[in-house]
Amino acid sequence: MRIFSNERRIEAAIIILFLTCMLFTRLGQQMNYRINHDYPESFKANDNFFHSMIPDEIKESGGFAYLPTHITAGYEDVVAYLPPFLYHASAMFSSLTSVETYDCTFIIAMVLFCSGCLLFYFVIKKTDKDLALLSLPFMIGIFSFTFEIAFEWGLWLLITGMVYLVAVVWSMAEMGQKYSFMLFGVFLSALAIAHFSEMIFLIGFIVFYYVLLFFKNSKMTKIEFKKVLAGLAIFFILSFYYIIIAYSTYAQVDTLVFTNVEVPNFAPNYGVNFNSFGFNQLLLFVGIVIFFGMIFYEKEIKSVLPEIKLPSIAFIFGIFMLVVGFTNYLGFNRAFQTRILWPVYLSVFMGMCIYFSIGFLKKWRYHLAVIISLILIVFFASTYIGKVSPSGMITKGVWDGFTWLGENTETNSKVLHFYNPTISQDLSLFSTKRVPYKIDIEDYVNSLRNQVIKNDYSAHLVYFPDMKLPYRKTFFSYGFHAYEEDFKKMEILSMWDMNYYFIKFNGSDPEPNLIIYNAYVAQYLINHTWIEPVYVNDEVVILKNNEPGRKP
Amino acid sequence: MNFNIRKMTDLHRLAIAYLISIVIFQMVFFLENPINVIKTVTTLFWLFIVPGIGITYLWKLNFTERFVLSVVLGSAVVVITTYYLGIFGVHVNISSLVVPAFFTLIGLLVIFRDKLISIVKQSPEKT
Repeated sequence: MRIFSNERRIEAAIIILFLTCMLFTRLGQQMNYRINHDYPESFKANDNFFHSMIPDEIKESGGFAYLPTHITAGYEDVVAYLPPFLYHASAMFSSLTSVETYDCTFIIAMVLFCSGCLLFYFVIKKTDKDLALLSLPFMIGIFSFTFEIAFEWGLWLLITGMVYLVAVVWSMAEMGQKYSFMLFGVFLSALAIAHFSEMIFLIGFIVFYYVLLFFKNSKMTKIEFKKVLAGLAIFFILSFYYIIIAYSTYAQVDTLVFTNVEVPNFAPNYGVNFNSFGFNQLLLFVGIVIFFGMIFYEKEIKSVLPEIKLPSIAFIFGIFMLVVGFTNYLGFNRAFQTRILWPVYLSVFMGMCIYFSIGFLKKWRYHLAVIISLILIVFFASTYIGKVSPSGMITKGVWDGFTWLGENTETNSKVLHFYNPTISQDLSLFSTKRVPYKIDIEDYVNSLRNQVIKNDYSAHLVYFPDMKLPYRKTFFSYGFHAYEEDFKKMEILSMWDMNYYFIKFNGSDPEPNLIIYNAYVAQYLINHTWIEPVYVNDEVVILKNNEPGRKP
Repeated sequence: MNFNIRKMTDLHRLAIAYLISIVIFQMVFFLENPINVIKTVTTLFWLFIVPGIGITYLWKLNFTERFVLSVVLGSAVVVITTYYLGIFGVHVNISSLVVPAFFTLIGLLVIFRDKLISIVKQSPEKT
C-alpha cells in the first residue's frame, strides 16, 4: 500500500495527532481554550498557585537566589532550595510574551511533558519501531482521574522531572554515539534542578542498568562506563552549586524523604494502583509477562520476532519505574508521585501486548501498528473530552483583592485572611505577595455557631514549611529559622497585631453562612477608629490597621 | 552531519514544524486571538527549540527525533545558564534574550564546524 511507503511522514503524522490530542484534552480543556485569562480560573490546588507565584517573583527580582520574603515569614536570607527549572522557564517565557505566569507555567509544563513522552517513544523505537508506534497512545494516559491530578492539581515539577529522567535514559540509549556523554551530563544537571526525587531514582537506575549490562557484555560496558564518568564530571561542574543546596536542605530535613506512607500525602484518596488503568491493566500484565518471557526465552522470541533488539533499555527502565512506584513501602514517600506517570513509563508493556499479538503478521505488522496507533490515540483522547472543568477555586473578586495587596501595601505587611475558599489551600495566599496569616477556621466556625463575634481571633502564620526555612551560615553549613525561638513567637499572633485584614463578604460560596458572618466581623473591625477600609470590590474588603498591636 | 546548506532541507522542515505548531496551538486555544498564539509559539521556539536544534547536529539523528531532542536540550542549556546568571545578578529579562541567542550561535558553529575547520586549516597556507 503506497500510503504506508513513506515511514517518516507516517511517523510525523502520528506524532502530530498525538500532540494535538494530548494538548487539546489536557491543556486546552483546563485552560478553557484560551491562553490569557484575567485571573487563574482553573486553579484547584495549592501547587497550581505556588508554582506560578514563584516565576512571578523571579520575573520581578531577576533571579532565584533566595526565596521571596512573604513565603518565609519575612526572613530575607532563606536560600532558594526549590528546584528552579520550571520556575525559570516560566519567568523567561512570561517576560518575553507578557502572558501571566499563572497561564504560562502550565503551558510550558505540558510542552515539556509532550517532549518527554516523544523522547521515550524514541527510546522504545530503538527496540522496535512498530512497538514504539503501539506504545505511544498509552502515554496519553487518561485511564482514570487519579492520573490527572499531576496536571489538574499542579504537580508540574514532577512532570518536568519526568522529562529529564526520560532524557537521561534516551542519552544512555545513545551512549554509542560520539559526544553522547555531553547530553548525559547536561540532562542529568537539568534533572537535578527540575525535580530532585527523580534524580535519586535515576541514580538507582544507572547503577541497576550498568550492572545488568556488565553481566551481558562486560567489554562494551567498560567503554560506556568511561562515557558515563565523563558525563558525571559535566554534571558535577554544572550542578555543584545546587547539589550543595539540595544536600544541605533535603538531605538534612527528613520530612519529605525516607518516611513510610501507605497513601499519598498530597491526595490521600487518589493513589494510583493497577485498578486505575481500567481495562488496560490486562494489557499491562500480559506485557510484563511477555517481557519476563523474553528474558528466559530470548532465542525463541528472536526466532519469531527477529527485528526486536534485546536487551532493551525501554523495558528495563519500565520495570525499574514499576518497582520504584512500590518503594513507598520501603520508605520513599515520593514513590506515589512516580505512579502518576506510570502510563508513560509502562506504555512499552501495554504496547508489547498488542505488538506480540500481531507479531506473526510479519508483512502487515507495520500497517496494523500504524492503524491501531491512530485509533487508540483518538479513542483515549475522545474518552476525556468534556470531563475537565475549567473552573477553579478562586473568583475574580478574590484575585483582584490579592493583586491589590501585592501592589499597594508595604513589603512584609502581615495580612490576616478571614474565611474564604482559598484558605483551605493556603499556599494560594502567597499570591498576595505579603506575609499571610489565616484565621483558625475551627474556632471561627464555633463562633458562628454560638452567634458571637469574639474580641480576638488567633492569626496563624502561613509559610512554606518543607525545609524549615534554611539559611546559609557558610557555603557548606546551614541553619533553619523554623527551629529558632524568634520564629516560634511569630507563628500564632493576635488579630490585632496584623497590618491588613482580607475579608470576603459577598459572592457565591460553598459556605454562605461564613460569608455573612465575615460581613459582621468586617463591620465590627471598622467600628474601631484605627481600622479603615482601603479597598473594596463586589466580593472582598481589605481593612488597614493603622496601629498594629493596639487592642480595644 | 546531514545539514545541507544548499538545499536547507532541515531548515525547511523546521519552518514547517513551526507552522504546524501554530496550527496545533490555534486548535488547542481556539478561543484565543491568533496573534497571541503566534507570539506564544514563536517564544517557545526562541527559548527552547532554536537554541537546541543546532547543537543536536553533533549527533546523527532523523529530523523528528532531532526536533524533539532540541526542545529538551534547548530548554536544559538555556534554563541552567539563566539560573546561574540569575544567581550572579543578571536579570531574567536580559538572559531570556541573550542566552537563547548565545546557544543559537553555538548551534550555528556546530552546524558549520566542518566548513570553519577547513577555513582555519586553509588560512595558514595562504599566508
